[in-house]
Amino acid sequence: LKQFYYLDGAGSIAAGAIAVITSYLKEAVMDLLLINGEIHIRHCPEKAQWLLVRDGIICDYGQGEFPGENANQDMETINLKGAFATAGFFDSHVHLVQSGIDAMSLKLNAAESIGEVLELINAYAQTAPPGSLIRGIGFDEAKSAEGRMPTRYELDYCAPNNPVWINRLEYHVSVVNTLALNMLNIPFNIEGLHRNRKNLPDGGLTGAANAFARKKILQSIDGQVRKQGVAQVIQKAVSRGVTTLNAMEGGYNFCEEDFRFVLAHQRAMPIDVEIFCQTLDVEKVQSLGLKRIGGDIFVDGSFGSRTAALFEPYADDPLEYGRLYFREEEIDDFIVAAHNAGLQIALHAIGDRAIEQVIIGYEKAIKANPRQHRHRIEHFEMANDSQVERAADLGIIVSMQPAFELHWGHPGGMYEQRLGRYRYRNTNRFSFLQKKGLVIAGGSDSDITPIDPLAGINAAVNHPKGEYAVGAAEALDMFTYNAAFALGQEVAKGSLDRGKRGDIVVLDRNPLKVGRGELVALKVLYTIKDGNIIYCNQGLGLGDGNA
Amino acid sequence: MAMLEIFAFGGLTIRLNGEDITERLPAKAAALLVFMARESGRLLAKEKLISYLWEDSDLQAARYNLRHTLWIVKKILADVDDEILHVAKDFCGIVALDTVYTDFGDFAQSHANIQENEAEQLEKLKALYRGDFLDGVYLRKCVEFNDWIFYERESFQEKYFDVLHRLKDYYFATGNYLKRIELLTEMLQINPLKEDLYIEQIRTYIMLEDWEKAHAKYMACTDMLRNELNESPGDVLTEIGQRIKARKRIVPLRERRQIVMHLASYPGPEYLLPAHVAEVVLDELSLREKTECEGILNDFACLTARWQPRCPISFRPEDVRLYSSIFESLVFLSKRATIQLLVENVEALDARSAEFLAFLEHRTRACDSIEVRCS
Repeated sequence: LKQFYYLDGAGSIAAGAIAVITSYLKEAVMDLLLINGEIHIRHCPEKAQWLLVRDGIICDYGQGEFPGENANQDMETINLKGAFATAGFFDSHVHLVQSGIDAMSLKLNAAESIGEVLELINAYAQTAPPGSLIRGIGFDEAKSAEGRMPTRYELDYCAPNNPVWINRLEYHVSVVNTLALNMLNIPFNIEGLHRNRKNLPDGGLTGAANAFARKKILQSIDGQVRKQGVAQVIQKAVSRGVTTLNAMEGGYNFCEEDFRFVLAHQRAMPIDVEIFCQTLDVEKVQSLGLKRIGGDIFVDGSFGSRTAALFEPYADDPLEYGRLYFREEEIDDFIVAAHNAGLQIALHAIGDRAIEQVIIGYEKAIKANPRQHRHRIEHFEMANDSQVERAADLGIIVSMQPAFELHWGHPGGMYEQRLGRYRYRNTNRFSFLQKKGLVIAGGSDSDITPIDPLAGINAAVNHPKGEYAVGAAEALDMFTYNAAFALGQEVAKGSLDRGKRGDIVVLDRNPLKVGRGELVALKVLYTIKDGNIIYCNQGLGLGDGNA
Repeated sequence: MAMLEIFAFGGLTIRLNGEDITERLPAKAAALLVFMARESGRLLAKEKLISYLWEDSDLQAARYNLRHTLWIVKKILADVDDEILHVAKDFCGIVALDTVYTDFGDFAQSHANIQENEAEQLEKLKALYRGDFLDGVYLRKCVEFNDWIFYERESFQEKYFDVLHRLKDYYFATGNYLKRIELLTEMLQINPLKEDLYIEQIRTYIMLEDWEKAHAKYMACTDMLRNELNESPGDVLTEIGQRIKARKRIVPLRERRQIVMHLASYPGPEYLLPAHVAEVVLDELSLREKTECEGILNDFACLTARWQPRCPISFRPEDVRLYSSIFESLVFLSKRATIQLLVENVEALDARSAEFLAFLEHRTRACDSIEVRCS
């Protein structure tokens, strides 16, 4: 018996209705027939009109009428009525458990002053059980009227009965209230415990103090909470057409328990969750029988916090070049060990200086031991021409997040503020990278941006720097075929073809035909995993007689 | 006479004549009692107590609340003894000192009176501190009181760390390395993000020649740095790591050759014994070993510099460095040989040589391959 989840998303999440995942047992996987559609067969210029999935595998497709001799009684048929079907989407970079925990946290991204933060917390505390932890996330004090984080006294005032923990956007700074400070038992001699004029802790935590608190809190999160949070994220991903995601779990800024949770539950999830263990411990990964190591192993930081490592200083801080968190020999040793162990490696590198460090490591390992590999660089936002060519020569896959450009890539946006008017024009150069032969896998970096491949496709096509935009077909590949390639799964997934798995997404319109400006309005109608309908957007559904 | 006992380390327990009365006291009454006990022997202004515990009430209500709380405390205590708490018009406090015991008072007094080289006293202090001061105690809307807890907690924690540091240095100087490792482990449980504590632990394992554990601790430290702080190991840790990785295979004990040093003593110049041992060791070491050994000695000199000021033995710092260096070179040599030091005519040893002998006897206690015998 196969257990899977069925998403009954009446009106869909996008329409604000509450979607419910109910699980049930299905004795046998029925055949699934899609008819009257525009079915995207990647290698064929002509679209198929029908497609049959048997035992979870695509067994045939074709044009015109479905030949009746292939039908059987148990067959489930969806009349696509001209809707567009393609391979199920991938999200190549998700922090699954963190996204789940954050989904259950108080969002402070919109708060523009301490007063607003306190109001939000106060309102949240009214319904929170006394003593339960209030986790606030996403506060950007730089954008607030006061330009600072709240103090523990302010947090005490608005939530006297609950421990409160407020995180800055990138989680490197946090503030706790008195009750939380009391419960955490942070040693007073730890680095990063901020103090007030009375030399008492003011609740502000950075560096080791923040790491101490973060670890203790994340470790204390109940498995049930993780389960609920992850279920929410998966539900949302499914409603966005995702059938495979790459979960980057454990390690710095995250939590070993997250990794263990995904490892323990990945088989029970309704979509494929490919785990990347964020550790340098090659033996550990091998002993667990995993094929991949790394993910968001921070070789450098981010542009937002001016920690992405650059060769030239930041435009808005001429003394700042960002940070390399590893010595060259450490990265080299790690890459060589993981490469020789036959693992797939993924490393986070955003700035050109960090990208250089990673490419050098890959060059050494691959030169010493040439073998087939699918090593990756995550983000790869600011690679120079030479680095692009060297990465292409090495066969490195780049895992990128097109939505970043829509968030920060516009004139006057964060990229321009940090990098200046010339350099900001050279971030996320999708079309250039493709021209040089790099395979780009698309992702969201959830929860930095939401899991939503259609939004990613829209961002890649409508790149703020037009010369680096790609066509819709190339953008679609980023979230399907290329992403499957980035996992070494292109033979089984990533496109619709005979013998491949029945992972399918149905969209209301054809992204390859609509205008660039209309991509943003595309909707997912069905998500199908191994021939099972796991999401049906009934609000926009195809009417009676379907599914 | 009634006995009031307050235990505030690791939580709060209040006993009266052995009976636990914590649950009978409302939270603010218990807080008031602890606050007064911390200031025992002094009368406290009621206004101050109000500002600590009823700051959100208007003055009249706050006065009433204090009066009522004091009445509750007095009532519970008066069942046994009316003399513990003294309440006047504007002041109140605990004045009958001989009837009140507090673990924090005991700790503070014992810490103030601590003498060098008093391991027993240090162990008593360590046992007294069962956890943070008033751990888990929090009064809502009592900012001043909660801040007072943090202030006191930090002050006690600082003293506790001082006790742990002194103890680990004591056990180091007296050669009880396993005890030192145990203490370092306790310290790391409190703050697992301290690279220097890991380094001390690794070095201690190296001194014990337990390379496996030294390596395991090194890995634990580098994992901690990467996973919690995303930092590379510092230069010192990196150098230690290289030393661990590059270490020569240790010859099994049964396969080592035996070196017997006959060390005769006679009236003469000072430092005779250390000089003699050093001479034999240098004769035994190969040129390459000497080069490697030099590294160890330099390294060890840095380490000893940290604990010398607290060294409980009456050695002069330069002597400690000398003796330690010789001992370390003996340890180095013992990787490939078992060493027997036969000291003859001990009563004739000069003062410094006698000190060195005492030092060696302490330090070689944990070494299987070095034996000191006297006649």
